[in-house]
Amino acid sequence: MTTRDVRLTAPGLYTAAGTDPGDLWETLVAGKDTRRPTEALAGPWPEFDTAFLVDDPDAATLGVHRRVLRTSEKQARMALYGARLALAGATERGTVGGPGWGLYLGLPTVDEELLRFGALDRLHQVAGSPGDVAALYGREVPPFSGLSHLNSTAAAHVSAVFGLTGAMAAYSPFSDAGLTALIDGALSVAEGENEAALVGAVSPKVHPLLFAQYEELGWNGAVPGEGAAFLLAEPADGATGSAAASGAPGARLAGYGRAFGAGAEDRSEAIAEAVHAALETAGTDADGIGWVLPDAAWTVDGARAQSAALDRVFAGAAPRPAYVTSERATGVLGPAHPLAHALLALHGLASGRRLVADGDAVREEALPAPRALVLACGARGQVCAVVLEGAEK
Amino acid sequence: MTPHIPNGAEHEVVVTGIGLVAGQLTDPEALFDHLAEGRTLITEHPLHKEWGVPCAVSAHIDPAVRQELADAVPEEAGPLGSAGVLAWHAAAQAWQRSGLPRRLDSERGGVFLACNRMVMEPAELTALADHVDHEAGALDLDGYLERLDGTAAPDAADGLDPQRYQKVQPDSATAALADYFGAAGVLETHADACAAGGMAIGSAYRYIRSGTLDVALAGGAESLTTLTSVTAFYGVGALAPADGRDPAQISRPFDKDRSGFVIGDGAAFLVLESRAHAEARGARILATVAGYAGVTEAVKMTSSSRDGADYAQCMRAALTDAGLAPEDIDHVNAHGTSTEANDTCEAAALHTVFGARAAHLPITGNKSAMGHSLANSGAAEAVLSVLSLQRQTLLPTLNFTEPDEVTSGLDVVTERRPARVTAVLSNSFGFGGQNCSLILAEAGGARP
Repeated sequence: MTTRDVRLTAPGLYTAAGTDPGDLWETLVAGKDTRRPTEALAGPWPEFDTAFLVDDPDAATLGVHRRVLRTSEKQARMALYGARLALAGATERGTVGGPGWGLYLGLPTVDEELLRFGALDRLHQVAGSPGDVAALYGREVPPFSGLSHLNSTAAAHVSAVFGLTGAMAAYSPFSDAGLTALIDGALSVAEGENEAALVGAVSPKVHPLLFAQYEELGWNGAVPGEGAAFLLAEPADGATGSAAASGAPGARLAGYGRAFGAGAEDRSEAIAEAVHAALETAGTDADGIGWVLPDAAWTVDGARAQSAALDRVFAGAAPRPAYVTSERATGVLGPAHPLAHALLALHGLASGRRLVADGDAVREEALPAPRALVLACGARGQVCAVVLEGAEK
Repeated sequence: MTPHIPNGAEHEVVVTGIGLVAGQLTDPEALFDHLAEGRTLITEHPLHKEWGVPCAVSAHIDPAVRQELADAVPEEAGPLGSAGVLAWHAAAQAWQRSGLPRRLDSERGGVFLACNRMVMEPAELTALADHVDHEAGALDLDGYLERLDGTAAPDAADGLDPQRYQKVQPDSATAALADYFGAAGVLETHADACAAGGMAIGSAYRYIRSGTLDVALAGGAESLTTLTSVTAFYGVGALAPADGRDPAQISRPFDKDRSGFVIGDGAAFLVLESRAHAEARGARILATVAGYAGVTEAVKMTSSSRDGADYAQCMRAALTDAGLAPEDIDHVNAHGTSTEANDTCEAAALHTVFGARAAHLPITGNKSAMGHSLANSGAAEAVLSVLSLQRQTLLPTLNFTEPDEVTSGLDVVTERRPARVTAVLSNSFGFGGQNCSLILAEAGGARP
């Protein structure tokens, strides 16, 4: 087992704000509204009729045969597109794939495809007749749904397209899964299990049952979004050569921490613990963090706990780091949210800039310290934190 | 808090507890005895039979057992779905058998659970369908949610459960177990298809080996013997048709007449510890986790390379990780789904990795009797592998009567067989190429 420093590079980001971290950066600064109308919802709930949607990538965009689409849900297609964006440079150089290339994914569960509305009407009519119900299912359940409803299908498609055959893992279902993928993917490189690891996460597709799920878990009205965020973890010494060859923005994964707070009353302490652990392993303290990208908190309790924890950790920091989330341009991205933030941080660390939330606006300013903290807070109290470190200016 | 500062040291990983729920059985030793006697868990699914489903057989949890288990979950566990209930009991058994204190209360414990999301049964979908405006083509979510909120308690007949959407998410059980047992250093909910159970164990093994954790609860749970899942898997040709056959004879790993898998439910957990931690507290060590590989492959969604190259790569990676040679393995617990494609690829891979020795290397396919419980299967097979090491006994593969061209030349165990077992290779291969091989060895460790 080796212990190498790990560098994060090759950003691939697909959100309502565009297909590049730079697009997201500019959208946030410009304050553009990137929402689109949602369909198939009626009634006063939810209170909005728009969400941060992305186009469903087609076979041509993905560079695959159209039959591949039969065994994929929109989530898998978004993931494949995010991976394609991340690996575009390395693919051109012909360096992608093989047994040294691993894959680590944070995936939401796939909300089952509702039967067509006409079929639901029929189901309603035949509900008392089991034989008719089963026959209806036989006609209406898509045959490949047994595969595409497994949230791991994203891993299958990404591996097949890019020829990845290294160590892998996939995690679900909330934002902590995204940073878990980043931490374990980076560890696989640090410990020599992979030469490089493609790390990514995808949001849930915006779907009626997603709203039902959010509502039960304490939804605070945050608007959901769709998207995927990918990057490459590779040895900081450039053993795979791809970062050095591309000149792509990159940063070192300097530290990480995890914690768990089962009850709402424990969450704030857990978040603070995870942040302290990340700072400790990064060899820095609160003063060494120039930028904080908190998770998109979509529950009232979650938002309160995160805010209290950050206030506690950074109370004595001078200067106090700036906070920003991408939520106003991307919506809540589930597992992809912390990775989208990681890509935004890579972009800022490369240019020595950061974004600062300023009321309803976002402004850009110089980054006072070359480290960014990214947080992910799962729905059950799981917390992950990472510190990304750019080159000293 | 789990600061991970790798120092290159490797810690030996041992198994100190096992637990399992399958069919009507809630005890791993009882299951081992059941399987050793050549008995099956696969039966007719009464509801699916009544509905006229073409393959109405499964290794489902007995409804009475399921109810007893649900009733026995302590209130502190919070809302758990059907897979979560199974996970709870398998994990609790494993924890109790390990002799660990009721709560670990250490940041050096973790929970690693493999589980797929549960899907709607017809009653649930019918309840939702009540709120569809078919003419407008829209769903009245407000009406649906208000109806759910107005439901005081789960009502299976009406398809209403006010906590349904919490319960169906797989990480609800991960968090409940971490909280209850005080093992909160690392929480992972794995989503690696049919290899997820093995990969959850593998990930826990890696965290203990690196020194980040001392203790981990690792396993899987699945509860997908539902009409939607059965219809979908049948539609894609993955399930074996019943065709009026005796349910016990339908799952036939490596047999020339295999025609698909039989779906199953269940949960299985292991307690893993560093050897130093286990020995310091005087724990009984059941086995060691000697090696692991969890790799992806690059073929396609519905099949792997027919020559078994991908599966062979996975097995070899696990052997390398363990520092073992093929001749050090004396039993294979195969993935053995009973599908034409999987068993062909796995048989080819076994020939590739073990060469001529494959003819004398005993192979067992537990899915012949237990069906395929997807994310849980790798964990259940790891538990049974530990028991094979403990009892020095190999379990039979039911219904293997004659191989085909590719599966010939393998020593498929067809009856309980006493044997010297020092190291077991346990395979799990997921749809779309998420492949996992675990190597479990005797309590004293693997002997290269």
